[in-house]
Amino acid sequence: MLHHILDWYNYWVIALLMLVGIYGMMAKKNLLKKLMGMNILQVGVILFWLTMSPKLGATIPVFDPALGTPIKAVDYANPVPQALMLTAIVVGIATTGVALALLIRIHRRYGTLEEDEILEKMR
Amino acid sequence: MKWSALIGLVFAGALMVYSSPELPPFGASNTPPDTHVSPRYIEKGPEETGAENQVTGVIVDYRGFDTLFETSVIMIAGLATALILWGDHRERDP
Amino acid sequence: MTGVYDSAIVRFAARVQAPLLQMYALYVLLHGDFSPGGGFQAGAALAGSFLIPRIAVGMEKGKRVMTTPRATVCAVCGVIVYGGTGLLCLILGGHYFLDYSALEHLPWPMPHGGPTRAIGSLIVEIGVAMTVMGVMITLFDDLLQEAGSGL
Repeated sequence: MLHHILDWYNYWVIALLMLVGIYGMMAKKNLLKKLMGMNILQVGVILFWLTMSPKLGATIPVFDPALGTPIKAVDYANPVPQALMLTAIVVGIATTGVALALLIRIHRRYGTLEEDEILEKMR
Repeated sequence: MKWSALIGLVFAGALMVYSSPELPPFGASNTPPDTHVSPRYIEKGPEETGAENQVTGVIVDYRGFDTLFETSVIMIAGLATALILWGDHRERDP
Repeated sequence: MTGVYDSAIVRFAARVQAPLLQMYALYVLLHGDFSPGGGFQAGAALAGSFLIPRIAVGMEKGKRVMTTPRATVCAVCGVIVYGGTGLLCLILGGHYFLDYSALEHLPWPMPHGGPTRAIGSLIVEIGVAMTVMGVMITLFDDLLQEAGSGL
């Protein structure tokens, strides 16, 4: 039973993060809270990729001279998901920045950030 | 809206937890991400790219084209933010 | 003299910390090949070193060295440096875009094999750091424009 939990607990934590993010996007009425829900969902997806990279008994993917010159792939963690997720993190920052700028314009125009009040004022 | 969202998401979460043993266990080394291309990047990385940090070697040398367009995406996002707010600034006090 | 914190201790601490943070960011950038680091992390730390004066001294006086148009121009120049290196490698006889082994054909003597590719990746990372720094400063300035002279 403990073996079963220890092998797969990382996927349960990531499922919890993604569900919190989707709940925030669906059920909250404030536009800023929806945006933060999207950010939490993004963090969950990035963590899901990153939990595929470590290996038991392996070190970080920087060449260590103490481990011998013919490099064996089983000694080092997988660098490819980490490299791909660097891109994803920075794209997330860019998306959040543009979305915050749009929220500032909406607030100046309508005076509020609640979704139902904005829909009423738009009719 | 809140209760129906909560029930639907709890059901989706239970489905995810029930199907998680299909995924590779934490820390295994014969998973699909670890077998096709990344052993070659780890073994030949320091001598081909000259970088002892294999992550830097992957993002700048083996996958350098991805990083070029990702950098341009960051630049476009910064310019878009500046244009959205600068237009409003000129509209409000001419 | 108007900042969020109207205190001499905060102003002195900012004056000591901003250059140290810049030195640390340059260290992380140049050691990107040998230890964890690289262009993105160094760009974020460089942006932090330019944002410390804006918080400590106020928005008008803190913008004196790195104004918002300068930061935006810096961001665009970073992408030009990156793309320019790729074009340079194509012109010098490489087989594809960003083929750093073509940098051996430069007029001055260059090492053969691995270290030449390390030099090419260093130039490219400088471009990435410039872009990330410029965009972070631009985002901070534009999103806090409305706060005015209170911040």
